Amino acid sequence: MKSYIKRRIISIIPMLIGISIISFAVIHLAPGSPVDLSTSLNAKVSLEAKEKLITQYGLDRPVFIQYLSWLKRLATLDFGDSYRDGRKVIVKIAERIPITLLINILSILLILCIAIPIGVSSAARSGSLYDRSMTVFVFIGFALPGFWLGLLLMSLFGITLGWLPIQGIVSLDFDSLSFIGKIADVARHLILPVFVSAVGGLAGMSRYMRSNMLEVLHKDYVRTARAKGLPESMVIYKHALKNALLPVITILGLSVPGLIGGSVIFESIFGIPGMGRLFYESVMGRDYPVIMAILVIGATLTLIGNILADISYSLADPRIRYEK
Amino acid sequence: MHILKKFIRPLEISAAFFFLVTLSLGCSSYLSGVDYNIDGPPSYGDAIVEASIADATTLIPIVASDSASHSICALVYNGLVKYDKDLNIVGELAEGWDIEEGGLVIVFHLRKDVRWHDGKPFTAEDVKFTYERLIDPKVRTPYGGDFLKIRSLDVLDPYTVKVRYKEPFSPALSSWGMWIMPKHLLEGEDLNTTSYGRRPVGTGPYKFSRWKTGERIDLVSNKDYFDGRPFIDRYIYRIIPDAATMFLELETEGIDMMGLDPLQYRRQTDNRFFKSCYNKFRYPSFGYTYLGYNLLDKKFKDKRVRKALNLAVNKSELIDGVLMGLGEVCTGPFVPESWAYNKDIRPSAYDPKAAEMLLAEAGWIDTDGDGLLDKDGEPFSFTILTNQGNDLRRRAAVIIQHRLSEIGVKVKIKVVEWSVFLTEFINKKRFETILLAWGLGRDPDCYDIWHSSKTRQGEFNFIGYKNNEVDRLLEEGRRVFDQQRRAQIYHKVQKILYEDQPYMFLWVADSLPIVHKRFKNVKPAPAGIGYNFIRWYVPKDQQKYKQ
Repeated sequence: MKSYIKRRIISIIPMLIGISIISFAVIHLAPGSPVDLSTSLNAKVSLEAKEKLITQYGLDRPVFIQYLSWLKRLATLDFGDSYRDGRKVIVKIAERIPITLLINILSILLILCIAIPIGVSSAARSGSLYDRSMTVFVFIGFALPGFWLGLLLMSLFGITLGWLPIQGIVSLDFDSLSFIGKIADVARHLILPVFVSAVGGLAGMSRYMRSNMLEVLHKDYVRTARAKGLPESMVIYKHALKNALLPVITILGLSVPGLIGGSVIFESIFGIPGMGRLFYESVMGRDYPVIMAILVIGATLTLIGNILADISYSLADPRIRYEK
Repeated sequence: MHILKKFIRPLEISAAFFFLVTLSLGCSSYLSGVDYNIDGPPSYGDAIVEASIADATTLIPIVASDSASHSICALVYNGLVKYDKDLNIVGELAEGWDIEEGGLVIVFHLRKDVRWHDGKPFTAEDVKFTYERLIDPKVRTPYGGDFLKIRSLDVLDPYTVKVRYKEPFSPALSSWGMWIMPKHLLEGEDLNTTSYGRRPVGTGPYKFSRWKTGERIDLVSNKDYFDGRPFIDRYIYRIIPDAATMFLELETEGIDMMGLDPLQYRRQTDNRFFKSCYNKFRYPSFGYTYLGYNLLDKKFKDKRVRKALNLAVNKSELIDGVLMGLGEVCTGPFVPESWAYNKDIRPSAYDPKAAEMLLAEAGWIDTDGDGLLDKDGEPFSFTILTNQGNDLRRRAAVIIQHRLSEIGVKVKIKVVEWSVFLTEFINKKRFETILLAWGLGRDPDCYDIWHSSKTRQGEFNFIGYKNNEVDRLLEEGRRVFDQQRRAQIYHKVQKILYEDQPYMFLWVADSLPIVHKRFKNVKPAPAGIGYNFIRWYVPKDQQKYKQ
């Protein structure tokens, strides 16, 4: 087991280098350069000034030299400075991560809390009217564009009813609130974004849960349990559910990189300064250091998430063992 | 089943309420019984909340190049000069100046009563420091250009600066509107990465308070401001990245000031709530939209063709259709409010018949009866290229396409992402026509856009315009300081440009700001509404945000 983990972790390194080479190549292949946004078609900016900026950023060097110097800095965990405002990339990412994490974790929890019961109960009554209407319901949620639902809910709860704030994560007078007031204020701001981001995720998780459950319900040990004369609720929640939950671990492992990712549209609508907007802005501004840092962090988390899923799977299910 | 109900209900209700939202209620959520129409005496206090789509990048003024950063810098810093409400240059940190040796030398006399926000006095050394950083090759500033024309800058005494230029350069005076930075804090700092970019210290009417990235920037009034303490105590710059949400936020009075688009101005704010809570303003913006011809393309080399296309497009229709009437036709590259604008040039009327005759004169006739004009066997067809993300331009292109099809010219439209648009099409001159806009400074100098020497890759005469008379006038316009004489020069430039039609000049759009009604003394002028911001006030009984 230990050597297995070691091997998996070592195998990450060449994979990461490969990913970074491809990402670096692709973003440099995209037309445009970091100086475009600040300088182009601004009649006050002379050509000389623009060329000066290009030299300043080192963009006049061959791409592979730029890559090597980037890699060298990365080896010391230095992601460099943003082209856009000269701040450390790592600082820019660090200030975006907490809110992104918070919303994503809350939304995954909400999805689990709703999708698992839906999936289990649908499987238990598979083919019934309830099962079919649940399917329709979760797919409506899946199909609704998040921005549209978001705007609709904002308009209802924010303006017509005036119950909830529609923008940002804190109120303008946040500083003057008491500690409890601050928590309540953040909670009020989070209701709509967390709800909207969870609605789209219900379908995948509940369908997944439903099919796992159906599969488990056909297993011999379930038949045995029923044959013993256990009540149906006992069969489902005690014997079947435990086994049906196992594959959910894989899904959770795979969603680790998603935790620090955010959706641009969603964050823009709700005015949340999260990772999605940072990534979008850096792509539009061709802010190479920021783009690369986010891609590398995302790739690392994906690979680690995979390993974690495999390991926790073997821990949870005694039938799975990794040899050498 | 209960889960189902729980989730479907809000959807149904929200759909129903969506229509109710348009039925507006009166003002206001925070004070009842206050009539905003009463002016009341000026009073200190309250806060103003302005919304912006984008966050600022850095508040080091010579490095900042985006409009969000500029909005903040404009309140935190001062220049030596500024434009007053009628667009005349007046002193700000300089109380006066002398222009000597025929424009080669400008001597600035600085105010002696100015202090930086940290209490240190402002002196000529700060001006010199700012200049040195502007021309420093290590500083990533896009604004060095005008300052590279300086031969030397000498500090004569702590309150006098003498600037000597390599040649007379009349836009120089307005270039000193550049925000001045504090030497005592920034000396020895790397301006590209300094932490002062996130906590600026200036001389301006507002002091920096804090910046929450992607959320808001807070400023507080500078009680010792040399031009008088601003009435409004706090300025809050909220970043709301989505235009639809920004407008929703306006409806909850979460924002006091924002720019509207034509649809919002005409329709969505035309109800009781907005009339009782907000004031709308309208004045020409500093910029114009145009259709530029690639003059290297043989189709557009003939002036008659360009004139004909201009006659075949109805500008008023464009303005009505695209801007809902909120703009005006323009006939040249200057702000219509400016002294440089030649008001004697009448825009040519929409006349498709005359256009067809001109095109026939130039050899474009429909010989094969397919409805398209042709010449030497080639049909008259070209592509209008414009950038993504600007719906007004895309719609304008469609209207132009329609009008030109009526005279037998086939137009295709291509919309391209901004960065690609610049590097692949504009810089490489791979376009037939482009629909774009220029934002304009207050000084009419437009040498970089029209002079025939400015056609290299990455320069701004990308259409390849060349006219010796215009070249000469533009050079002269840079040498002459007298406003009357400069006006004559630029009037001539405009006349020649309208005759030559290297661009089809389309429109100058209106700026459409909306400001909460509790703010008094907001008076539109040619310069807009922001020029007297420190004199805006809220009467005591109408103040919303307490300290």
